[in-house]
Amino acid sequence: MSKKKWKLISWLFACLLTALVALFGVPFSSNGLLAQESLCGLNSTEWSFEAIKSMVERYGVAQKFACSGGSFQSDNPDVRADIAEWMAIGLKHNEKVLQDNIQVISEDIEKLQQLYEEIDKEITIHQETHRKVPVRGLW
Amino acid sequence: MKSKFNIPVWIVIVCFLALIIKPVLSQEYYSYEKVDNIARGTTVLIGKNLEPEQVENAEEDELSGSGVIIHRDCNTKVAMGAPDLEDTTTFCEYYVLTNAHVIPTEKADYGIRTADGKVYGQGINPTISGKKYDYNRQINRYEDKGYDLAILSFISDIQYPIAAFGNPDNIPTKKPDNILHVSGWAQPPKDSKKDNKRYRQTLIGELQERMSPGEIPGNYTLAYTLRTKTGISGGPVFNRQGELIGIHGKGSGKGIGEGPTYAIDIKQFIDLVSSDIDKKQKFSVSLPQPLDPLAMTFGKSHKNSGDNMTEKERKKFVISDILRDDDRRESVEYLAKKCLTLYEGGAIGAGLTNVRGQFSMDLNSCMNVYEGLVQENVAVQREKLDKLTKQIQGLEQKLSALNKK
Repeated sequence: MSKKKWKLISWLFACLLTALVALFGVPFSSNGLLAQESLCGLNSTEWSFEAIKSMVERYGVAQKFACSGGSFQSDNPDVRADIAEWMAIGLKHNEKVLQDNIQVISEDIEKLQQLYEEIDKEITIHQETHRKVPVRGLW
Repeated sequence: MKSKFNIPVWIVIVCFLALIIKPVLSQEYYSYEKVDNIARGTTVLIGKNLEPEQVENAEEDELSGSGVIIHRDCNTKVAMGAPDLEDTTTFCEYYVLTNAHVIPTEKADYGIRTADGKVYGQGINPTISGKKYDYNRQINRYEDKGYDLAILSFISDIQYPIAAFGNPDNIPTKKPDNILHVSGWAQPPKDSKKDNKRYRQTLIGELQERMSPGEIPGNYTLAYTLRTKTGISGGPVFNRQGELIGIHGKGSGKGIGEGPTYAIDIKQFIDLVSSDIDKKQKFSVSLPQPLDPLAMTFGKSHKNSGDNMTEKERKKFVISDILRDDDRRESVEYLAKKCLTLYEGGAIGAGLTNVRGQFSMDLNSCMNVYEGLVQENVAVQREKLDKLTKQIQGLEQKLSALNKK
């Protein structure tokens, strides 16, 4: 094949690729169609995807539970025990986060308390010293 | 001619009549507790070579299943070689309906455990007036006809209640009339060494779909939303009027599976018995049947033996309509302790689909509890901070006094 023909084919492919991107808007990112995120048979375009992803990744809902029956069926009604499972996991997670934060605050308060006690002690010693100075002066 | 009554009087009469007729026409729904009592009184456990006290000691055959008493025939000549019975002695022959796969062979001896904890089997002959009694048990399996159904009989001098047949066609697949109850003896959790006793439970769910006969092997026709496991097979399915509408027998897979579970509607059995050309059955069945008044009272008075639970175990068990090894039980128990209100009796309504109203109620009560928890924790820290603030103020005063000096 001549050099001219190769050049022509390359141009053709380049045009085709540009047209594809322009027409279908294929983004070459990690979230794009080429590497689309999916969970429980849902892809990231599904209306409930972000919520389910958050429940699994952030709140610790087992994927086995979320994907029970093979996939997450967004439009199916849930029974009370299933709803309780979602709620309990979410609440337990938040309860733990609350307790962890409270623990940190509690420890900070304790440190401040210790600091106060140390300063208070220093001041008392200082006061005692001040009181002794005039006495020493008498001698 | 002028009428004796004027219009307002007629209106009052019509309203009065409507008030009287309405409760008669409308179907009465029983609470979970009442259906649970009927279920307890009529559900039996069927086990290969089952002996008395085996269920209490968790020694029964692992593959034991459930069944329901559907027919009682008292004061009849049922067996060969009967002892001389006094006229006053009453003894009854009972028929139990179950799945064919619960009694895989007609040759084995299957013991039937009733709600009072007594066991009746071929080997364990019944005693009437203190004498042993020979009895030719009836066993009919309908597997060859395409039905996962079977019948077996027993004899006793005790009056046991029977389950009354209701029309399965009257249940819609829409809320709230589609609620149904499944009673049975689920296999105990396998991984538990302490908690290895089998309990009888009444599970609650909703009819989801009807299948035409033959669509699912075994002629299963009713699909519902509750989760079951091995052992509940052969157990009765009741509607909200406490009537028997089906025989449960199919889960959705291994263990406590996801997705619907299935029953054979009772009409299939009625058709089967009425088309019995050989007239093997000694009884006929029809629809509808009146409720047996004994069913509820018997179940109520045999609560512990009927469920195989001591008072202490019942107290610990709390939620009655979710299986012990259902992976959702821990969450349900956690929320029930904190915020979730029970559905009825001891049931949480585990298999009931949540409508928006119920969901918002559940969410609201749990959020209230959570808010209370946040406030409680913050209040404790606030108290500590207030104390510290006062102490620092004291420190400031000390420092300023020191500066003055």
